[in-house]
Amino acid sequence: MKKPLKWTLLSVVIGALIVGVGMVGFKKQSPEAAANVPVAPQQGYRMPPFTLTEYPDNKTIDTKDLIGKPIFINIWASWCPPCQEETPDIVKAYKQYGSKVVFLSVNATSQDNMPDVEQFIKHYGITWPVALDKNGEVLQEYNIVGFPTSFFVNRQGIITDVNVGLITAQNLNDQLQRITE
Amino acid sequence: MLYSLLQRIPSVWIALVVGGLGAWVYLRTVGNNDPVTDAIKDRVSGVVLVYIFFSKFVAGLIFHPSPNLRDDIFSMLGGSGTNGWLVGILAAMLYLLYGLHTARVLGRRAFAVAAEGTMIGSIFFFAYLAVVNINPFRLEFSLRSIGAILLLLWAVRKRAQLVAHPQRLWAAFEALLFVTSVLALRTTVLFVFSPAQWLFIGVIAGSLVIEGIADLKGLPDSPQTHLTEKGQIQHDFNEDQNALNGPNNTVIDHTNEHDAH
Repeated sequence: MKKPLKWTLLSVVIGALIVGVGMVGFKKQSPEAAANVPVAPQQGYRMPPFTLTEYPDNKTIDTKDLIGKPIFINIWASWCPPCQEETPDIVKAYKQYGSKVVFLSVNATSQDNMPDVEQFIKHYGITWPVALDKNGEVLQEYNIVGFPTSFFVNRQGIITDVNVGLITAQNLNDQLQRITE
Repeated sequence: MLYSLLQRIPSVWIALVVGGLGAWVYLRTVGNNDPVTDAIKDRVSGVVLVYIFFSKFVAGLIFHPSPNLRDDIFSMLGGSGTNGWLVGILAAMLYLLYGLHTARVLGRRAFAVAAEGTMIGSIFFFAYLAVVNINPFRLEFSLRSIGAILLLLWAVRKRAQLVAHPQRLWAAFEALLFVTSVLALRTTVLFVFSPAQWLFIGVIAGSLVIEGIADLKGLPDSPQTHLTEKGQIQHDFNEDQNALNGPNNTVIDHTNEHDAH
């Protein structure tokens, strides 16, 4: 093939490829497209909805009511050392992002005991909603294999990141910043 | 117990091990004691380990050095962030390039064999990910696996052309990844594209630059593209001998040139 023809063809094909992928990707960012994403507790999927009772007033927390807002879900247990280590950083992050992001702590109550949970909440000064997973439904639905596990969910309800284990303050802030954009 | 352990290991790591094993077996089978193929085959496990180590552990130190240095070592586990994969890929690439350089086989043939190994590894890598994910990711990974099979078949049929222009296979592979990336929603977007898509565009652009240079200047040792695979091995061996002993001790093997004709 002659070189000018080869390069003209290459330019057209690659240009069309970049424009095409860019346009399809742009359309996929719309809320309508996000609504068609399947539900799974993994990055890139829509978060599985759940309903739990809140500590201490037994109010119902339904994640369906939170659609349209970025959400940070932290699943923890009072006896878990990494949970104890990361909570002061989450408390600091709440002060910074609490007005923009819904913070939701889910205690693995089925594997914990209430006096320790209460002590944990009081000790670290957790002031955002804490939901109690008494039957382990959320643990099962979200395939939790270790504590703590953190989920970052954007406004469209898509999970943008899953962090299993301790999350550093820097990583936490980066992810929170990302879901507010 | 086993199920629980497997659940704790990221599926990408398992897919990498599966893909690496597939590539290793393939390179071992087709290698025929070829020094270039052997050098790449011997580094497959290293590439997998370097990727895992750097993407998960070292990336945290690079992106967020102060908290990782201040806190205990466990914080490294949670510090890699979402861009750890990029550090892992760069580290694995550098590891392979450095290894091939020290083995004195770095060149167009090495890029061609590495591309072929990447294709076979990708078939298994994406097939595994297709199994453990649900749609739309399952469709994306399935198409990538099938695409890698087609590219591998093309590479095997046009091996002489591939040795002369390995950038074409790399560009075609990246184009495959780029096109299939539209199937799933991207959660991180930087100027229209996701970081992974920018990486694909970067490799395609790099391949075009190399193609352009080859078109403008020609290939420095283009005669070897006409040789058979055995001839290419002999050619590389002669070049190594030249480098070691000087041009007077070159081993001349005309039979390969006859093979080519």
